[in-house]
Amino acid sequence: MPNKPSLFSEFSKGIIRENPNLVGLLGMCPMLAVTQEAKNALGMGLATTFVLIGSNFVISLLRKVIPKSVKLPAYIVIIAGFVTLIEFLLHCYFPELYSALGTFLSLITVNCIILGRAEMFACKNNVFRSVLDGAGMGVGFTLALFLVGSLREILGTGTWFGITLNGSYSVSVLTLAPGGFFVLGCVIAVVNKLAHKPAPRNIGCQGCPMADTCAASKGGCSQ
Amino acid sequence: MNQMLVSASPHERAPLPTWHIMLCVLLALLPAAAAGCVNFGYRALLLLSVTVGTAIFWEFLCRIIMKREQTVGDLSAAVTGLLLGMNLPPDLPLWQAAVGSFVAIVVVKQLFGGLGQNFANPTVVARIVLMLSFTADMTAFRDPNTDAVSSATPLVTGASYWDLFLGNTAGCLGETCALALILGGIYLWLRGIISPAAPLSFVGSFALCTWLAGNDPLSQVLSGGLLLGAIFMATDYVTTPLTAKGKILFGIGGGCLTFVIRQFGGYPEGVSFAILLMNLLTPYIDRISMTKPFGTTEPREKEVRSDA
Amino acid sequence: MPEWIKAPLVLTLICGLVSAALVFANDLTADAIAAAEQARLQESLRDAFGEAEYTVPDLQFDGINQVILDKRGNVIYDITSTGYEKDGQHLLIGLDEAGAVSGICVVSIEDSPTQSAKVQQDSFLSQFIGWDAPDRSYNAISGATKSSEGIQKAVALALQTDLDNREVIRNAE
Repeated sequence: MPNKPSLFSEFSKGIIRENPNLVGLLGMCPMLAVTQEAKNALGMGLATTFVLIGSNFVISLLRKVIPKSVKLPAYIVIIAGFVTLIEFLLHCYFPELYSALGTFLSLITVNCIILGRAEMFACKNNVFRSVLDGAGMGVGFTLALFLVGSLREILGTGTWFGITLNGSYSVSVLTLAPGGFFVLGCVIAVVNKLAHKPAPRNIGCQGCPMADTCAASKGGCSQ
Repeated sequence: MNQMLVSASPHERAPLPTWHIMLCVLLALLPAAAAGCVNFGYRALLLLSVTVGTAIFWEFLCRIIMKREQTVGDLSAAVTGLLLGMNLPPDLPLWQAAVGSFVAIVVVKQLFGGLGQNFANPTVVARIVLMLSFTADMTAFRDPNTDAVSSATPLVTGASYWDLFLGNTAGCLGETCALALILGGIYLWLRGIISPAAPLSFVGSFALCTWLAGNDPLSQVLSGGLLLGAIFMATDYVTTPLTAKGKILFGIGGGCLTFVIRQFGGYPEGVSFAILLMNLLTPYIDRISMTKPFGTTEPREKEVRSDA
Repeated sequence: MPEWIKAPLVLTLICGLVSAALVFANDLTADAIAAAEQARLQESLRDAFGEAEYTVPDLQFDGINQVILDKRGNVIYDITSTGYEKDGQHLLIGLDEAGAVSGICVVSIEDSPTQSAKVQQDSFLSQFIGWDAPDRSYNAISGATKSSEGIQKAVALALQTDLDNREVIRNAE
């Protein structure tokens, strides 16, 4: 069995190299929907991180107990539970953020990132690594949302976190959907340029979706 | 023959290079641009020079950064710049005009592959982006008679036919003088650059819809950006259908959409959105209106199936 | 344990546990949430219509979220109107004792930023002050026609409901 990646790299891979949103192109719906303002983007990212860590923790804890045939429904119930939990908390303590996020808070349940990490990582790795993975992916997602949100808010309305920086040079199409897509496209292009590294010569089997059926999993695949 | 050259079609090329076609379009646009400058004064001339100049600059810069050969010489950037300038109100802040030409040249044209590869008319997209971003500035029209600035165009206030025809009304810089636009269109038609199918069907279907709805078709046709859009933007080679049948379909779709948006929609001007929508539908219009190559027949599927 | 028993059993157990956890969390937060909502409503009422004691009688009318009374005889209608977005405008329309509009408060509005900003300007909203009949003519803001319409419809609805049900409302406690 090849050496497992270090604990730190489990966490850090989600930030740039395998950023779930900008490199993996998952979770696009909240990315476009709540990034008109940096504050909302940050809030959404943190809420998703909470759900990611929680669901990775529980799913990894129960990974040996949940039978394969009910894997997906079980994961979704667990994820939905965490999402409802964060909804209660936000409604209670941050009502402004709650109404700003609106439906998209409930839609965290179907965010591909969370189910994706559950499927690809949490069900195959121990609890500690799963939590680190969830945290890393969550941080990467939050940073991506925050970056796009800040760009859209600063260039689109001339404010940042509600503080007016410069009111007269704002291009408000950036706060609308078409501008959002455009900003997102540019950010994805830049981040992918930065993240582009040659593939490692020997990858471990943790993140590979073929690991269960792969005959080479004994010695690690070298693709 | 020692060598046989094999290449893909087309094998017969017309002697007209791109820059020649673009030059003709520029000439056709000049009367309307000049009318705009006469009506709105020095500011209009300044705005036009800024849009043309920045369009050329963005294209030049973009090709350098993309490490491709320079295409500024084919004058297409100049045409886009001039057309964009004519779509703007004469008092638009200059930096916003520069943003508009950036969107038209860099985002719509160059990022998709340059001339011939754009998915929609660059001028139309730029105008829409500017309208969405700077609504207040884009709807501040100046009346050339009184120099009063308001957000009303003759679409709202109404004006005499003669005023509309000669461009004596408020509106965007190049769209007010119907006479100049029509003259430009006739010139392009006589030179064989454009086919009258799209403009005629565009304006015709729009007039028909307007008349059926009980409004005055003549003043509706002469107001707003309809003539400018129908003559110069609905005839763009890249983003409109190839065959005559396709062009007519394009024109009908555009005319009806413009009527619907002007009548029922919240935006004061429907032509840009109509043209953009029809641009997006052009590949499908092409597919259904393609001419059959001489001598082809439908593949005989039934026989093949019975063999197997 | 055969697979066909274990699978549904585990799934049911997980659902049960998650539900129990959520019921627990709900118990903890439900009161706080309700209190926070009331506090926010009171605050926006105070900002828009001044210090007073506001009560919500148990009255229901078509299209009105709730009716709020203050001791001074003003009636405030909480209305969700459709501007550009369906149900995107949450408004409080205040009518004085004579049934004329005394104030409009925009609690939240989900139309696009420019439109929302335009219709919240005093220069637009102030034209509704003093209206006492729902069918007055008004000036919409060009470029924000739909949003303007939404607000006008809400004002008309408040005035109409007030005209139709004046006795019931004024006599409610």
